[in-house]
Amino acid sequence: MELGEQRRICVSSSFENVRKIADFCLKACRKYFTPKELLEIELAVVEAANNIVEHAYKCIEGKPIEFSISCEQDSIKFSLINTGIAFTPPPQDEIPEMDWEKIEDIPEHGRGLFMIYSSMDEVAFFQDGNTNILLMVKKLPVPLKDNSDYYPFISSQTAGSNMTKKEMQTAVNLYRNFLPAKAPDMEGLSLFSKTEPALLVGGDHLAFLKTDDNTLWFMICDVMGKGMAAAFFSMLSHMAFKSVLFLKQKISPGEVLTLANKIMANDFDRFGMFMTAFMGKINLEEDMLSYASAGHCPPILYTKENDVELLDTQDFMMGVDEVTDYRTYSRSFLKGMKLMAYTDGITDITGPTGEMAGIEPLLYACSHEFKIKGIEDACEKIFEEALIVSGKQLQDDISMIGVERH
Amino acid sequence: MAAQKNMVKISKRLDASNVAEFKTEALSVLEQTPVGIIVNFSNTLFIDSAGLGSLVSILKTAAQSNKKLALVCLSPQVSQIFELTKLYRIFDIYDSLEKAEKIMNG
Repeated sequence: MELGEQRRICVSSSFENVRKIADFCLKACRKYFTPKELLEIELAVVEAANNIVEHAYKCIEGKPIEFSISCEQDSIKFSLINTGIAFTPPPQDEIPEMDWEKIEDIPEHGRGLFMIYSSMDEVAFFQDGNTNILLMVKKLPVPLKDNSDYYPFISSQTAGSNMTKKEMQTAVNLYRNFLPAKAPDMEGLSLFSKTEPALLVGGDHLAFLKTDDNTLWFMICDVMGKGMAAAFFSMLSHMAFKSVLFLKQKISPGEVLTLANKIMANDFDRFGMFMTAFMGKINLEEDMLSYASAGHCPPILYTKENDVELLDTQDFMMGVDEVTDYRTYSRSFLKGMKLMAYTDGITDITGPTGEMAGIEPLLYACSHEFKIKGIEDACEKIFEEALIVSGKQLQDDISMIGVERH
Repeated sequence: MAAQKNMVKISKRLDASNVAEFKTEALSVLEQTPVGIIVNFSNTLFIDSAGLGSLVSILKTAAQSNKKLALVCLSPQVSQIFELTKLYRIFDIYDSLEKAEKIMNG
């Protein structure tokens, strides 16, 4: 992670997923802190996320927890967002001292807040509508220098001066043609895909791949950042995924991510890049959906019985650690079921007052639209609404992929 | 987590996701031993407040029946957490298993 950069992960509420947040957090900021400081950061983040699972969501699993980390000149900022029960904790100086006299008087609970306050330099709580935000700041031992020319070959200035308009146009055309203009025809499935880059090109990438009449692969990925640099790396990932799928016939989505990550991690990591990805496979003969996620926003599954739910079982993002095992999950995918995957450009849209949309409006829109419309019309409507809310200039690439069984 | 006679060895992390398992195991070991229980941290690099809470609870149960609880082989990371929370004050902490066993055997 470099100066000015922000990294995010969204997981569903469970104590197991708190470990994923901790892992994500440490990998992002490990080069800036001493081991002692890293342990303090891990403690504060784990305690804060545990509190969300236990108190904000009352241990109900499947609710969203968003964690983001951003790198500033003299500090790293960590924020945890939830939509559960709001809790405004007492300020640090009002936390009662523990009585150490008798063992039976020493409490078993209630240390978490003390640990958060003692480990971070600043701690603040906010509420925005039904969103609860915890912001924690840890000062850097050594302030950072501005190294915005860290990637000279991909800075916009270089692109503007050295690349002729025509070459730029060629790059844009190439990028756009890699994206699926039209989803493949498959009996029994309706498909939707759409992407809108914030700049001319972007780091979001979608693909469908029909390997036989009964098998459809689909993927959606989001490379860090936007513009040409992100597009460049998304093309790299496209070829890695495709190679793995062509070389190995019988393979699960988790194995595809594991192998593709092994191929790409070193090249991504050298430039401080990373990506999230969701890969799905539908087997029509067996009525099965199998999938794997590399830190990607949880897709939304609609069934008549359960309305909407999040498919939230993420492993670590790609491009950081070449030895990462991605797990495959399977569930039945029956007539009437709809699945929508998207990139965080949608949940990160900020309204006129600066608040982030988050996942709630998207869940609401899916619940409403999927009941009354087919996947194509429903996704188109939600996508258009997202574009309207975000205004003329997109802040991030927005992409969506939809699959319906009929 | 692996148990042998009067010892429970904690895995790499003791946190809210595996604390219930640890507590059940430790309390059952404690019940079966006449003198007390040794909790071995030699593999452990992280413990959160839920993990610390379970140790306080085990200590209380042990004290009620006049048994001992010994914590051994704390890594620098785990020691740091005990110092931050000042919990080192209430636990008997030993740097080697042998020392703890000696205490247990009187």
